[in-house]
Amino acid sequence: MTPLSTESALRLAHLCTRNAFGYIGQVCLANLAAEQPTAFLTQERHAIMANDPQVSLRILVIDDDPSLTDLISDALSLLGKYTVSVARNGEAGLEAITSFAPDCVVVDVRMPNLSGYQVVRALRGDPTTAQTPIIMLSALTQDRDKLIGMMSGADAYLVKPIKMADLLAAIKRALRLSSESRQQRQRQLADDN
Amino acid sequence: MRNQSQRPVTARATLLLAIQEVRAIVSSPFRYDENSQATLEAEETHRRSALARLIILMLLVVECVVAVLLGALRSPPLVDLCAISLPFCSLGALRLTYVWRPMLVTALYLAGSMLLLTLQTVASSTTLTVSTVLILALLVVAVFITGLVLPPWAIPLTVIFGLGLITITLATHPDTVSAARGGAQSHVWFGTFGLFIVLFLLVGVLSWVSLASARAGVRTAARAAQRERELADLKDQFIIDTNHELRTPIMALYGNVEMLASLDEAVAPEIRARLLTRALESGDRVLKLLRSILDASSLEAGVPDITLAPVPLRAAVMEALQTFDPNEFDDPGLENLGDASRDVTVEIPSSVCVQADVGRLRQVLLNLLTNALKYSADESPIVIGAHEAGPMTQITLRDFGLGVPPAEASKLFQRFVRLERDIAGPTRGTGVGLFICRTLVEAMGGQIGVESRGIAGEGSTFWFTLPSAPKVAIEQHQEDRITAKLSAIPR
Repeated sequence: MTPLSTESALRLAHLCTRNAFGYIGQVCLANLAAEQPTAFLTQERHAIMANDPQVSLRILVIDDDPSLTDLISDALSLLGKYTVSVARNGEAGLEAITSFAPDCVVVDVRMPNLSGYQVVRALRGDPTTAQTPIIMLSALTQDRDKLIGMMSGADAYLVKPIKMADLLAAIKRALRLSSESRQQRQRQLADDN
Repeated sequence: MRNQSQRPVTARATLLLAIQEVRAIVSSPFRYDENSQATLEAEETHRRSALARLIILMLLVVECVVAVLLGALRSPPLVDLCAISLPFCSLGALRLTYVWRPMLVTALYLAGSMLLLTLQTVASSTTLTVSTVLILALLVVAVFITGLVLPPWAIPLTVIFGLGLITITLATHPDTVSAARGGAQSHVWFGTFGLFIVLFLLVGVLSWVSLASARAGVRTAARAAQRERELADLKDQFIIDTNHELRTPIMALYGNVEMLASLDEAVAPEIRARLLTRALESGDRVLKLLRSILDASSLEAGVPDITLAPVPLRAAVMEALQTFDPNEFDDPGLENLGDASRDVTVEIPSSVCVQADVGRLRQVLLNLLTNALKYSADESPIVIGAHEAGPMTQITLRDFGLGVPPAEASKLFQRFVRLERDIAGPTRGTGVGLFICRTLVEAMGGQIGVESRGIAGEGSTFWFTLPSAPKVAIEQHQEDRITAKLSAIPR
């Protein structure tokens, strides 16, 4: 293999840095703009969080890589006090959604059987899960991939690698999103593209 | 073409544009932008058009000088008129090259000029004059110019035209008759024409050869540029894939360390140990991925270090199967192997020996086995066989998975190549495994290939050959066919 040209190396470095930090920043900004504390909490969750801080919210992690699901489930349960369930592919994820009834879903994109995009579309198409907060966590870095993710209906598209603290923050933000702001975002996305 | 946007309207603009173009070509000898979609052939055509315009421009200057001279000499009015109108014709032709097909215009212009010369020769005086010789010499230049700027078919046409002109001149000229009768100057007469015939043919052949050689050069360069572009695309895809493959373990590594740092002292020691173990495993995974990439690069750099020795094939295969550890590869595609086990049937007589490097043979076998596991269904079997083919032994590895589309089969063993299907699909990889296999097998004196009809479920047969070694005596009778259970070792 001939060594990477300077141009390719620069491009690679640019890709990595931009995606690791820049895009997360953009997503954060976009979500901050839509974020307004308590007023946008859904009634049910607001009740749960206000009345009993001991009740933990349930999070479903759908990813085919065990090293990541182990990490994320530990991080969410140890740092965020969430109850975590793990599914290893898209199909198992959809089954888990009905049985586990998660408050938030963290989903990978490239998976066997059903891709993350398909899972998100399936969730958004079902009235019972249309308002479930969804976060996509993927190693696909291109703008096109992010756009597909957001168009599918995800609340945030995070690019691996991401710090656990940032993932927790993104989950908190997604949990606070109201159905109005979610619909407004989808409309805006549709208008922009 | 790039000049269609520049269409000069006035005569002045035409001249200025032609001069500017000549200067551009002289100052930047070959303007080939590798990022543009324009091919080298198009660039070459463009340069020849510019050259054609330059020739017309030069003839235009000559015609202007002649017109001025003739005007000063007060020659007969008809010649005068011709000489004065010629520069305008040339200017018109030059402008036409910008708005119409430049080559065709140039061809017509040259043909027209030669026709005028012909008429001039035929109508010239009754003896062999300086002007006749001059005109014939000018025709030689025309043949040369044709070879320089026009397509190859124009060269024989021009030569035939010149030869025809000589024949006509000879046939119609009264001197020919006297020369044929053995006139005083017959050797000068026939000698002059013979010399021009030889000159026409010689210049025609030379033009043809140089044109063909130039074209072949451009074609070679174009092919090289095309290959370069393809390799660059493959590298880009490789960077995207590697980028993707690296992100997950790096996140796992970082995340586990981050948790260790953020959890306070109160956390249970077993959790701490678990996080540490996982961080280390992820670190290993990053290292292995980097190593496989570096392996591919070092193989690219030169012939791998190989020591050939007789190897009992069956023992080598069984050893590879028994020590198969998916974690060694840490191929994310192998995760779906889970706890399931696969039936691997080995159909190799225990007497078969090959000349090989044990370590490299194992590497090739494991690479092929990994692929077979990755691209076939969980329950489907895998069959490893061997048979002798002449001085070589062919080892086959058959799976019943997705198969390989025949059209893409030959590209599969190149560096960074992955099937279109797999790039889009969930199975991951970097596209270096089969490249490593090919390099190693070729270094051991064999060949590698795949047979598949690309039908899912029918699978594919990857084969490679190695030089046969003398058979070993079988110490105890063993079944030729044996089925082993291959199971993934849990992480």
